Amino acid sequence: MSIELRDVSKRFRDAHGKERVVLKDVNLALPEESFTCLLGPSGCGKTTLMNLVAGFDKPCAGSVAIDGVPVQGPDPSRSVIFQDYGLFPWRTALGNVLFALEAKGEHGKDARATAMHYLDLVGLGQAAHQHPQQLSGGMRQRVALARALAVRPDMLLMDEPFAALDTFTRFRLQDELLRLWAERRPTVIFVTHDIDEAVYLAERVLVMAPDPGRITHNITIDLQRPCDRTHPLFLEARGKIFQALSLAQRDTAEYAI
Amino acid sequence: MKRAIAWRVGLGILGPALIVFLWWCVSRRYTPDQFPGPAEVVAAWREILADGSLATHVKVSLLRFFTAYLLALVTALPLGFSLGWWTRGLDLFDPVIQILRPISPIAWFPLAVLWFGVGNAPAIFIITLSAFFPILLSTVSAVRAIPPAYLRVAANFGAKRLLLLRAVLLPAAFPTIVVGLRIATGAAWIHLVAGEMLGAQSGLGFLIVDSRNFLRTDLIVAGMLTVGILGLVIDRLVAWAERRVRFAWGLGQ
Repeated sequence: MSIELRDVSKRFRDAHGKERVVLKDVNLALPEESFTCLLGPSGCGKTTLMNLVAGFDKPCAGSVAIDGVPVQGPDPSRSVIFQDYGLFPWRTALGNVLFALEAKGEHGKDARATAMHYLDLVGLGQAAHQHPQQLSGGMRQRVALARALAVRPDMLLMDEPFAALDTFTRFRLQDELLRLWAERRPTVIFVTHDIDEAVYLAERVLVMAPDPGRITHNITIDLQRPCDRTHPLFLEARGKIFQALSLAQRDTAEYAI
Repeated sequence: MKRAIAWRVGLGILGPALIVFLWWCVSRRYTPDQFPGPAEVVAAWREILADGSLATHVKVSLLRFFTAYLLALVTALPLGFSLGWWTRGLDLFDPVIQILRPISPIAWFPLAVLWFGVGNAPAIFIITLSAFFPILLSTVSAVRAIPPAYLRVAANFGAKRLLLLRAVLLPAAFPTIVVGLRIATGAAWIHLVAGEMLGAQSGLGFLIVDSRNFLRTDLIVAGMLTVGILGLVIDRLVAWAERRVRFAWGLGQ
């Protein structure tokens, strides 16, 4: 699925009734099967941008189109993965994956087999009958990943999915995500505020800046996957993004002055 | 651990024993008609146990209680879900609810008799009313407190209305609703006696009023204690059921 945003703006009223421009004149075209990271400090509108693509929100101006068709609302072909996992605590891991299939109209033995298949895929076949509270943060996010993948989406929208996890779990899940992406090639938008994570995962990093939220840099990362986090090319790409981020921050400061 | 349990059980027996002893001390200063002692009450109890009247009253009371509770459930739950979901509906009806809620269910009694006559119906009406508001209000706030994240997940996967209600809204609201269910059980049991005292010709409330008419204070206290013990049993049953469901839904601990 390709994504196209044209002159997208989004404004919110904050708690004091003041209008805040969260996104201003964002233009963006992402090809099919691409892996893109949205990187930026908090308040730069990266989650808002993702919500617009997911269909949870509508732009105040401009258009959001998937494969040339304007987004009307959420759709199972675009699976969202939330930072807080979004799992139902009253359902087991298996039950959570089954929910996605039930919503699609799949029931019975076949649906169970499919759900188990995806739990196995993320390495959680053993934990199928445990409830989210009994699972670690990393395992919960795997369940969410299995649930999102079970409906065979063409696009994965991930909102800081690994932000709450410890470093080692994060590394492992990053590798698993890359493996799954290489196998199935969904179009991925991955929101993060971690430079290393963006370099490690994405083919393209969009650096964003706040006030008003906008894309300041569009950086292509040309590395072999999975890549070595200590390789000079990795560090070079990292440096490039670091520079772009500080430039973006300076621009913001000037913008404010 | 074992010692802690022994202490709890020991104290749990000692407390009531102390009260019974005090009761006995005080009752010795009065005639049994004015203030019946433990022995008279136990005797009265055995009397109504033996002639089967206690069993009949208890059966009638429990039947009324469950009928009324069920009525409150099937009316308050759907209404609570609707008002919790459609904010406009709540804006429309909330003032009415807030005015009706502080009116004691007993105040409805004259109207209930006019509308339903005497017998089961007015008592059931009053018990239903007393359970209705706790269930309604807890359901409304439970539905409104459902985290938006759950709704987003459901929307993302394209869940239809029925699945949304069955698999998301009901279980998500359940822990809060259960609090209301338990309050409603207590309120309904309390108003059962009141309802039966006012118009019924049977039941535990009637037993108490009827005993007053014959100045059988021992029977009055026996009736009161029966109400208390049954209330305790019902509350424990509800708590047990609550735990079971919570556990089945992974909400234990």
